[in-house]
Amino acid sequence: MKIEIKINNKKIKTESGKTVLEVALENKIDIPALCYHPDLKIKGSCRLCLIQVKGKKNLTTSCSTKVVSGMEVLTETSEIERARKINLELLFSQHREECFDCVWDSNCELLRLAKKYNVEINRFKDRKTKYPVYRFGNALEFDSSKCIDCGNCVEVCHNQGVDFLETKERGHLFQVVPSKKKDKDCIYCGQCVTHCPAGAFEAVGEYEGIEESLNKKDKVVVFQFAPSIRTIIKEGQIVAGLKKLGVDKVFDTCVGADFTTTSEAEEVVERIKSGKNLPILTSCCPSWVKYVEQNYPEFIPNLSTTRSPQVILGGLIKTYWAEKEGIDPKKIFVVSIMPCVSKKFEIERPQLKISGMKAVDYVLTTREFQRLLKRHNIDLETLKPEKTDLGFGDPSGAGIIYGASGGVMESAFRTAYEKLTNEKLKDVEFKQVRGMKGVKEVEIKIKGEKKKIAVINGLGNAKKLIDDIKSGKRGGYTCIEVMACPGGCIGGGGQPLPTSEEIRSQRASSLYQRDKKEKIRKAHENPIVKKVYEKLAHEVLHTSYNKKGKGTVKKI
Amino acid sequence: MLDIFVLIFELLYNDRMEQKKIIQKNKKDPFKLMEEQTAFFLAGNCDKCTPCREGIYRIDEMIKNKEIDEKALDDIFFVLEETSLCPFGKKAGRSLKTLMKKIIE
Repeated sequence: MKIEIKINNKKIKTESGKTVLEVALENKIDIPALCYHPDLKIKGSCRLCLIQVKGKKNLTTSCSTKVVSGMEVLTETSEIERARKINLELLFSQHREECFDCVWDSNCELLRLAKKYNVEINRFKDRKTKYPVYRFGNALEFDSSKCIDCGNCVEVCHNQGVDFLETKERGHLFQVVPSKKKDKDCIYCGQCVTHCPAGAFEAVGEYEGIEESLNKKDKVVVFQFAPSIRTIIKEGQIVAGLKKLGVDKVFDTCVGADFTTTSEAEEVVERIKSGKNLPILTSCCPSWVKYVEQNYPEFIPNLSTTRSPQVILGGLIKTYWAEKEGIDPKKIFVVSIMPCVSKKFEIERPQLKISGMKAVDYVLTTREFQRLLKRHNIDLETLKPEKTDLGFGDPSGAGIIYGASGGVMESAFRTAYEKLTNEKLKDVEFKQVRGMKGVKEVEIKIKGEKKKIAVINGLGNAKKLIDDIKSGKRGGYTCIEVMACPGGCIGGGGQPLPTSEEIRSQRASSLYQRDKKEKIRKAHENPIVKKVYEKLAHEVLHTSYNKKGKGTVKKI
Repeated sequence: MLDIFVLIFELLYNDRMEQKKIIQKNKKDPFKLMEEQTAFFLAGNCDKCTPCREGIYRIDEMIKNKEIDEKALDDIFFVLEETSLCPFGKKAGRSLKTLMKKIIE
């Protein structure tokens, strides 16, 4: 229902059901809101989004107040400013500042508000200086001395079906801690990083280790960049920036995705024919794979054995390309720029080695790459776009859409359809699997036979589906794509902050636009795939999995 | 210990009661009383909202260190009463404020 309200004496037409904060944000009215995140429930814990509603005695929070017709709201009064300033000073007293090394970089809301409200950051002594830093495996770090107790990380971890982060009472104060329960483990999705307003979470080595990828003077340094990175920086600029940094060669991970698709589609065809290990579960997302290995080991045979795009391309660089160029593969140092924190964990999996070598030696998140450029004073706007190096050619459109939820499924079916029917697929777009919906269930007709597929983003949704399959509530699926992060890799834990469904939708849309422009839109039609796929060794394309115990949690 | 619970109950549910009378009734050192009262609120709050969690912690810190910063106290009482998520924080602010006023007097 359309209603009219007044904010700061300005008439605003809106719809009932919305909160004052949502209406204010839509109308570019600045209300500070640290614990508010559009992906999460309203908590009202930071007490900064205060407003004065005419007729009400006390201040109230705009995040939890729904608009009603005729409502009159003030967002900036001396009383509101005073309350925000004091609450910010109290928040700063529990947040140890380490601004030079923060994932929010120069985009920090806490600092912006400190300036706006003339906050005395050190008015109260930091109470958390002795709080520990926890390291989860080799991928994630949680610095509890920066935590402002908003609870966003605990909620997003719960939404992911993981429940590794929990709130425990220590003394008289509650604090966020990693779970000690045996069956709760971090899957390194990094959604805590993207939903923490205080920069308390970061990837391991972010940003202390970023130079490591360049300081390899005796090595040929080869970079690859994932499909989702181009939703943040244009491809030509990525390559130009890397060349300016002194990188020897730059390749596109989307080419690796074309190999992954071709192999995965083959697996789909084989499994449909044999009727074994169905539904086939995608395995590009290392967080999802880890989750299955730990929580649903009975589903390990269902996981596709095809390696992920970065690992396949890394393997190709150290085998096919090294041989072609006459380079000793031991002298090649492969670095991946990924939208993901979990890829740092993936490259350490022993099953992914190629002739005893790691397929990929180092992973930088998108944020780390941006920081690396900044540290070297490289302004991408001033650089002429460059093309990736020769060696693997351009990817197909199918490889590019891998970054969005549904992308892997769409790519695989563009190929699998042709392999199953021996017919040319005219309309390559499977739009039913696109979009931000957490669970997309689609039936596709192949040779008159219906195939039921599911596409899932957000691990919590996958947990529900797998539990339903186990209990027999749902079934009959041929393929299931799972991406742990909301929206797929474009919403990954390594992407720049902030994130929201709107931002993720824009990123996905840019990938589909790129796909549309490509002449070749099927992975198996990519010339490099046609040329070398059949000759590739099994170990370049496939991997194995095993039941896993709980990963390490170290206090630093 | 019963004294303090009786006092807090009275403070929470009988706002108009005069602080002076309560203190006289309990015959307690007001500083000690304040320490017990903040300890109660510190233990009893849910730690969810900033003013209640951090504000009461800071009051407790001042009482324990016997270093009262009047301006800081006034600010904390203001956000406790005006911006706490639930009545617990709002009432904590009011009762601690009246008691503290007595101590400072």
